[in-house]
Amino acid sequence: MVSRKPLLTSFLCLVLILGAFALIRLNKRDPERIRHNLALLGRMVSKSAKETPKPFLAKIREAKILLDKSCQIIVDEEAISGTYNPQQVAALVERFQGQILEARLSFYDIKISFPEKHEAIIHCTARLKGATQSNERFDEFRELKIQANKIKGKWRFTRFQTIEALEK
Amino acid sequence: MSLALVTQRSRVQIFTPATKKRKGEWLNPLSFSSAVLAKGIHMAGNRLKSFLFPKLTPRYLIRLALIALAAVIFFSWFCIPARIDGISMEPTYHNGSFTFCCRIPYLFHLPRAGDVVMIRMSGTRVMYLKRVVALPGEKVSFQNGYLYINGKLRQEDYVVTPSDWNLPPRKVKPGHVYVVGDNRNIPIEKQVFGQVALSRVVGKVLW
Repeated sequence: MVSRKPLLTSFLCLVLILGAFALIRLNKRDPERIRHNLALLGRMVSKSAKETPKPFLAKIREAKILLDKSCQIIVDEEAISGTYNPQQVAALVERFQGQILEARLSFYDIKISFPEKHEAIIHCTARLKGATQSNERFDEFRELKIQANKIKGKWRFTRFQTIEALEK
Repeated sequence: MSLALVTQRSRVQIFTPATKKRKGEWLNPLSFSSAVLAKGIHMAGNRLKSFLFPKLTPRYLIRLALIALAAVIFFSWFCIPARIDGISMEPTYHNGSFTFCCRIPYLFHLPRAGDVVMIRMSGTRVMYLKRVVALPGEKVSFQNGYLYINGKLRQEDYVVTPSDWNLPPRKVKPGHVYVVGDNRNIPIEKQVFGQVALSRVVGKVLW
């Protein structure tokens, strides 16, 4: 006769391990959630040469997940600076992706602080590398200060600002 | 005769007592040298083996951990390895070359004019590589591609390419230094340069 006790114990252990793993995955801490959102933002803006363009509606959906209803962008280029809603940001991304052949947006040295319970300030270095439609390579770095607010339990970006380390 | 005795003794030490010969007996020099060679190879092999595949004793593991910790601290804080990505420091530093950013000199003194420094952005993973041209309180300007500090022309041997840069005079703020790239062939609007807070200067390049 085969004893079922060890089998049951190992099954219970497996369930416990899987449960703990799922709990950790679902209960991501706030800094991790913000990092995850930054990674998603990078993916939203990036475009590979072979990639088929995503439908505009999908971009709006992505922007709505990541951005607040009103998102402020303050960059050195005045043409881009302003306040946008997710649809407008999606349109901006669409326009940018139409001008480039490929691009990759990545974030380095991410430092997150929480001045208030539902507010986060993120300092990071953004790198945008790629090529234009005329195959002109670009590789730009900018130091960013990003503000994110926790709205209905979700972290959404509300403000992007470039920081000039060097002042001419 | 005495030589033979000595060699015999040493040979006896090398191999097992079963090969021991009687005292005073002559040895074949060829067999002796080959034995010494064999012994040497054997010992070297053992050493190499113990070096490559050491026994994982607790003492060895502690030593290994301490060395790894020291290396991590040294290379992440004191001497940061960096790959140069860009052409703003050509021809002094080429795109794709490798160097180290050393913090140690600036623990003892502030950056000096002519130093090539690394400037952090939000951290040290991505940094600017620039040359310090002016110190706090000095006036910087560019006229027809020539650098003027406090109204005097600064000789810059590291600048090879001619430029047409023009920049009105500006005073470097206290606690700041003025940094510029060596490649003045890049249009002034596209070159990243200017005054930067000393707190952003991470260190000096090692070479």
